[in-house]
Amino acid sequence: MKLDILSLQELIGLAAHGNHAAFAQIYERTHTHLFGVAVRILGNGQSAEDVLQEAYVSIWKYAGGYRSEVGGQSIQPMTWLIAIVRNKALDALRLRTRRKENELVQDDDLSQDTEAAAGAGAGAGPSAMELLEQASQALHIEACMNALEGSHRQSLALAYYQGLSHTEVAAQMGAPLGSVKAWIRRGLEKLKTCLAGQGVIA
Amino acid sequence: MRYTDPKLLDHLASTYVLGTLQGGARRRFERLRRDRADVEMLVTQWEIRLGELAVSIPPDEPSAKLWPAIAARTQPARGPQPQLAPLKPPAWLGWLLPAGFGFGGLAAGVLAASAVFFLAPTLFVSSEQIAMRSGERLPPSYVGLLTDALGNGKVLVSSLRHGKTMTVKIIGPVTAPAAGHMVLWAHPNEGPPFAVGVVPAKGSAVSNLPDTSEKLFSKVSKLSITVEANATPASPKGPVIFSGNCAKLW
Repeated sequence: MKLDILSLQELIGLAAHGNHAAFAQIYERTHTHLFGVAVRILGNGQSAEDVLQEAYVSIWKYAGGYRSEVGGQSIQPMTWLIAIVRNKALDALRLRTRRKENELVQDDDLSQDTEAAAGAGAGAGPSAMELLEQASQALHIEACMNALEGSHRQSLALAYYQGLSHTEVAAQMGAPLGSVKAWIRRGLEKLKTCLAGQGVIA
Repeated sequence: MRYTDPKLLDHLASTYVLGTLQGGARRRFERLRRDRADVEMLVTQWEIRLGELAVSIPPDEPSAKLWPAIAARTQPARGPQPQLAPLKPPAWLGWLLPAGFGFGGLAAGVLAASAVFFLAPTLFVSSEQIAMRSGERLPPSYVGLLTDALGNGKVLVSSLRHGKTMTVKIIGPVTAPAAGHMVLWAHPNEGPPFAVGVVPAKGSAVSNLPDTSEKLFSKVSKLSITVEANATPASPKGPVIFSGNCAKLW
């Protein structure tokens, strides 16, 4: 069987039945995008690779759990894969933050990773806000999203692209925690409306 | 907290997927998601919405060591898996021909064995004893007997342990659904069920499996048949009409 002509969905179906060659093909097609997602949240360090490794092992183990449709709503394979990677990256980030807060771990790798993560949002590559603008353009919801105040968009972008918590967004923006919570909530509601306007879960 | 307000649930789902729902609230919501299909649906919708935002994230290349590390943890122990291929006829014939009886005998043998196995587990007899009764030893197989809600045997499923075909035989009167297909599902001990084929309204049908029985069914303990609009649905949605256990016959 020529695996390279199969869709991602078909490959996941084969992987669910233990076809490792199909799984290798899934990795080939998706790993750079999924690594990008992990790097945005964790920085380009070992922990992003660790998270990606855990994510692909989960994908292999639970390929049978992928549903192309739930309640009449079709789900792209990439949506499912991104959700797995984001969840694992967020778990790793929270764990790192807790360790840092507790000052239980002082090892060098962790400090390096933390620095890399701090660099991911601020230094190298586009900022979270730029990524949100580019995504809005690509999804044709730019005008709709621009109806939101900049601070609302900024807080949503920091939470989504960098995986920051409410407290971390508040600290980074120098804004009260209560305001940030309300901004993110409004940001999410606006995103829902704007995407619905483009037929995404209308 | 009340989990009946749809607006509250949608908000929790959005912050859960975004990642800002944390700590105990996140864990409580995860339990709620597992228990309630409507909550799972809201989460899925937010995964779709927020997944769209990932379109602008620049791809990045991990180190070359990553794939070997993943492969080492996922590769089946027996080396590379063969590509999907139809079962070679001799696997069945090689056993059937010397047996000196036809397919009916095989089916009757499997039926007798599985009926005894399922209906009177305490009297379960070994394959050697069955072999003595039928005059032939049964090969290692996966078998399942599906019954209706009243316990009447309706469908017999059998597959040689290392074979790649499955036989589904109707053994009791079955009323075919007015519309749709009767789809057979395998339920692993962990993870969601997967469809293994369509059940005929009468007689029996042999179908090819995507892999060996051993690979597909070694962790499967239950089987069910649902009525579905689609012959190859991703997950069971229709009503369950028959169900039963899946057992290893060796």
